[in-house]
Amino acid sequence: MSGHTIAAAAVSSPDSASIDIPALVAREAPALLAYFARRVTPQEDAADLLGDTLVIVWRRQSSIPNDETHARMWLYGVARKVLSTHRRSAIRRNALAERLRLDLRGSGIDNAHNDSLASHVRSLIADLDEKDQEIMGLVYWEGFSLVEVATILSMRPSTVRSRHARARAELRRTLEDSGDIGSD
Amino acid sequence: MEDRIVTKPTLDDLLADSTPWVPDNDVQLRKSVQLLVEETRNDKYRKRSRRRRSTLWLIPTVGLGGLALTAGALVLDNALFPDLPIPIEYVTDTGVSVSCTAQISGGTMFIANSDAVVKYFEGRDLSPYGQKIYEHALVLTGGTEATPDNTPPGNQWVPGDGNWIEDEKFAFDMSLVDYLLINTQIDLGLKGDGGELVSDCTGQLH
Repeated sequence: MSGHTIAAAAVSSPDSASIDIPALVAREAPALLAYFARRVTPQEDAADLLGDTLVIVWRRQSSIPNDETHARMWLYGVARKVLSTHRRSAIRRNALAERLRLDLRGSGIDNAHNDSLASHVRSLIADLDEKDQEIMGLVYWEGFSLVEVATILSMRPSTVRSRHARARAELRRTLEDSGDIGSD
Repeated sequence: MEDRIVTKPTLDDLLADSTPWVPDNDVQLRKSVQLLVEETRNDKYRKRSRRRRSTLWLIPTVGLGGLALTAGALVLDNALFPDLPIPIEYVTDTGVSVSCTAQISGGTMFIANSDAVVKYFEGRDLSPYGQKIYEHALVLTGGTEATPDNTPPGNQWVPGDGNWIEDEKFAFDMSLVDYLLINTQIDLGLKGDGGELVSDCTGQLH
């Protein structure tokens, strides 16, 4: 049995010189804002969560994978952890995000109240297991592939595929029963 | 009268249409997002004071009373301060209550000053240590922002810029060292070649 040297704390940092990180972050920031706005109430809290995410991203930028696809997955992985922390604790208001909070109020197209069928589908998704909710949201609301979702959630692609198929079958069954979709 | 064929939506259509919030083309909103990107990139959040540890600190990761191999020397069943197992009790951010212990087990600076060290710990309320150690471990992993409340007073080193500690057990061990060894060293003005802890804490953070 051996001890370990506490002084050796460095974490390996991939070479991230081959992608333009500031450009990537600037490009993805609106999508990250939407990611949060779809998942928190009140929606303005999305501004704080984006601020918290960006602070972490800039601090950890040397850890960002050096290809755009994986870098994007990495950003959503950070966002997911920030969201998870937010759900466990009262939000810490980010002064930097205050202006964005104001702009976010009343902005965007809020589908939450204007479409009863969409609302019904969301409630069905909300009834799924928490992990399945994440998978369905990332696939259908954020547009990620199942392999990409697996990366974001740190799960095996085969597990994500099977959970997605099971959740999808459950939703199909319910929506067919209610006559909202046609049978194949 | 013209017949109309009503096609029911597909499951994929319904799922995609259930997106709760879709950003519009609000120019001001996009501008505010980009300002936030720039401000977080350049602002004071990135300032960190750092101190490199020059002393070698070791935590043999074995249970109390176990066999520890440190720096080529065997430490057998004889924690330096057997009467001072320090209770480490904390509640994680998921509400899990964790209880474990840590004990100073060696290091010349502690051996040479054992009386002062024992007196130092006996005179303190050790009950807040566990939660403080836990909170600082979260900071070391990049999970929370460093504040004076979750940073050991004697230690201002916080990894950053890509050097967050991803191994949660390792982060917890570092936090144990920060609070139990480095703080003690600073408070008592100890000199010597580092210190050792044994702990049965698993480093659970969530």
